Amino acid sequence: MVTETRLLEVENLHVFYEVYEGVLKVLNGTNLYVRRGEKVGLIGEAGCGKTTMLKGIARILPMPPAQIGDGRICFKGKDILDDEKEGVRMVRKGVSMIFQDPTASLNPTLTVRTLMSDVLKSEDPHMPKAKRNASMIEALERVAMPSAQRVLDSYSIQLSGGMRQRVCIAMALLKDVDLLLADEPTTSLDVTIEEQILDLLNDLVARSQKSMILVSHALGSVRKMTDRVYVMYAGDIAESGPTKDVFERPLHPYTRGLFEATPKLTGAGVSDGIAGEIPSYLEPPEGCRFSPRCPKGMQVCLEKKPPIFALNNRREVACYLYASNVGSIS
Amino acid sequence: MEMNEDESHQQRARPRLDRFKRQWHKFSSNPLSLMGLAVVILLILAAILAKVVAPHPDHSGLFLDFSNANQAPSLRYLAGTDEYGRDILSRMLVGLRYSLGIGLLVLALSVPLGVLLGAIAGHYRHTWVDTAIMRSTDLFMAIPPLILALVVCAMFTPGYFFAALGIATAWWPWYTRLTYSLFTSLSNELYIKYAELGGATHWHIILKETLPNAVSPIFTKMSLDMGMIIIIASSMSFVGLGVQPPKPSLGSMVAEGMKYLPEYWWISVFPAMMVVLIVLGFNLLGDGLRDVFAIEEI
Amino acid sequence: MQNMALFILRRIGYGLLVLLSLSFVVLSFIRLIPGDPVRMSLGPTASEKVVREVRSELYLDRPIPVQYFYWLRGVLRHGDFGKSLFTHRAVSKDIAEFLPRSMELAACSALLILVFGVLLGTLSALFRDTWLDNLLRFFAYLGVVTPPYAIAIFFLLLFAFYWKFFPIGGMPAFPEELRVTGMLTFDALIEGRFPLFFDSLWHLILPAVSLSLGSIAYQARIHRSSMIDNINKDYISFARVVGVRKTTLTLKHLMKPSFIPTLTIFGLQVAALLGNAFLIEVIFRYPGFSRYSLQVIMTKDPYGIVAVTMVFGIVFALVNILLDVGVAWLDPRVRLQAPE
Repeated sequence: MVTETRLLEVENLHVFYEVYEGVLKVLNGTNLYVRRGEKVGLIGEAGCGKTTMLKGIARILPMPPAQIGDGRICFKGKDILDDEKEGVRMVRKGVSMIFQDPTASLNPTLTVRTLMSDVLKSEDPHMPKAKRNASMIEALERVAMPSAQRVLDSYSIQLSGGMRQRVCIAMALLKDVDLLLADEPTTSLDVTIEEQILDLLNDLVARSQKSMILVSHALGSVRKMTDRVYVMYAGDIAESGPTKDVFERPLHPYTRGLFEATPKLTGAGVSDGIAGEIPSYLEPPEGCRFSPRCPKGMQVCLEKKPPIFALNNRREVACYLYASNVGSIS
Repeated sequence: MEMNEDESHQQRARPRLDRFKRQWHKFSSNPLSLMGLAVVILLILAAILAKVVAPHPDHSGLFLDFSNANQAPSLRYLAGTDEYGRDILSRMLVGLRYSLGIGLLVLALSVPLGVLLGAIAGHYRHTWVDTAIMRSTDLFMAIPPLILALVVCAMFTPGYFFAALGIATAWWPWYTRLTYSLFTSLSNELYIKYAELGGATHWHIILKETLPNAVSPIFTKMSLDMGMIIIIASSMSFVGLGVQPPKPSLGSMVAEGMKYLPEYWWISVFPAMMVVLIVLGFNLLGDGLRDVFAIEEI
Repeated sequence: MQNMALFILRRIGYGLLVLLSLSFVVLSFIRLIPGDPVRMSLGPTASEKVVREVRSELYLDRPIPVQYFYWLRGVLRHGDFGKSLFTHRAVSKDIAEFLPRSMELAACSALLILVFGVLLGTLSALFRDTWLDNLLRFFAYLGVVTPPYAIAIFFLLLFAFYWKFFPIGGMPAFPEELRVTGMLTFDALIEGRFPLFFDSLWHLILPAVSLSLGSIAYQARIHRSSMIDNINKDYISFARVVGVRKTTLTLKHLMKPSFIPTLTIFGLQVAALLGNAFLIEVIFRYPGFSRYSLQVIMTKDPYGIVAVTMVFGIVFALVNILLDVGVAWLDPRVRLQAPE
């Protein structure tokens, strides 16, 4: 059940990376919010800043190259960027994340048992061993893991890809969090396993009233699973809104191009894709970052970055095409 | 926004020069690497011009002047004199020649052999050639390299060439192994497979396809090795197995000066500092190269 | 477990094969090189007859394979490594006397390398780019570029001559009745002779530190970069984001995989240790095996050289097997791969 309280609110977030060649200005004043119990999708092509966004929220950005500039990330009403220590503490307590590659996510030198019990021990050092064991088995059973005992004593290389991701999900949900961030959880898995894992996630999140941000290439799954969706391009949010609405009537030219590029079983088949390439983050375009490729690009798009225009029905678009439609639907 | 065709064509036409410029840019961004390069260049110049630059060049041969023996460093003898009255600085400069020379000689002896064997073994993987070569490396790596070098050198007449030979005997297996593992990982590259399918001869594949791509790690290793080889060579001449007296060698100068410690400390200390400087230069240079080629630290 | 035992056995078997081949190669090599070690050791005044007798006694007048056969038979049957032309007694006696002393020194140095190398490397990695890191890296660099004999002389000058803190060299006399393992420090300790124990330790410190300093520096650099590589790995971020405490994260999750390259390099450090020991033993007048080795090598003593080569080979092989086992224990990927 989605409530109105905003669990997470990202305001005007700026994240950049200092690299040898210069500064990569990835996130440039990005905004995003997630309400309690809501499942939010985040879609966009590779390299558009989705992972940076999630890692920024989870406070696990590698801080030597990465830097957080302006902006606020409000979690449960408190700006976690403001007070370093307290902010991180809140995030560790209330936010969890699973990564794209389950093999890289699990320490190859430790058993699943060690990994999971370390999480439990860190949360409650005084938990008796028996209770820990029971919790671990229970967590594995919750993710439909066959032969939980055997898995506990295994190393990650002894498990299949799907099993590894289940372990990751189990670990992520060992502590009772409010928000789960899922960064392309099925991209490195077999297509046959993909649906299983996504259904599992859907189930777990819905049952426990958690909120979730799901980043995925599998547009079909995003459409099925999420309440609201954000479309991201080169570090900026292109548009957002209720999932059904966005998928049925994409407003931003990029979103339209994206959906058109998706192979369909009916109609056009495989299309040509969107002409051009994503811009360099070293010297991003002055105005709208999509404008160089945009089939409907206007002069103002190249010069000034479009603000977010709020339309009816919770639709928001960052595109000058809709400047005059504020308050109505075209 | 779109590059005009002419410009983009020009850019594609000089990939090698651009790559070199980029690598130089990266190399020179690290002041330590530049320092290493400067030190090495300086040392090489000093070695080549040793007899010209040295204040007392004849002291590097047979020379006796007991009236000036064991003098502390002064304006006339910048590094002092030794027990025979010889100017230590001049001897150090000539000794520098031998040190650098031995490093080059060892590499010249061991690298071509080692790389060739490793290339052949890597190319003919899983055949008896592979086994024979790699097992030989096991044999030569069974005892610590310095010990092997000592044995080989001592069995012949101790001297410059045999010291280098000894070290080279212990050194070549490392290059064989490195080249072998490089070839093994490169063999999966598509262009190798295409060459094989296209019917290229084995030599062509080894020399023209695989080897050029293995050059950077080998080259980096060579510069990192120089320092170690020079330390080993000076350790050997410390015990008398290198360049023979009266020719100066940094290691033997340190050893000779030991009996005068601590009073006439300069006899041992300055040659030792020279060794440190040489190794420092090559190590900084090697580290800089490694950073540029982004090789893992070994 | 079974895999491990088989693994070790195979390695030992192969190691023996290599060493056997090596012994043959070395013996042949000595025979083939021109020069007469017998004449050299007996001196120019010894008569031709005596020289021939000694040569025959040592099988040096027989064809190489025959000599080798007799040598091998002696080794396998009686542990007889032949007679040394240098000490004029059984080589096995030489080994028994000198080897434990060097083992003492080597063990001490190896311990220093592992402990301080890892400790300093860890500190450097955890406090990356701070003044502590830069200081440690600076000294580590100095340690790597300075030859061991220079380090030894430096320490000698500073701590033995200048500040008269440590003795200049040598070792306290070894009372015969104490000889259990042959390692003075250890034997004195287990027999409860504490003054002797401390005296021996005091003599051991400077040589051990001189021998190990370069390796400590190198080890610290490797461990530091290993930890820094792993700090950015996904499995560390993941463990952090699902809630593992920072201390556990660093001491267990980060350390364990970081140890793998460290242990691998440690093998090379031991090789360097064994190789450089003779320098230290000469400078500090330490009555050890490496100094003996140098002497037999310089005098071209055939059986001495072969025995010395064997001993170094065996020690080195054992250490490597141990390290391989260690790496296999740390990294299940090694253990669980099917043997090639």
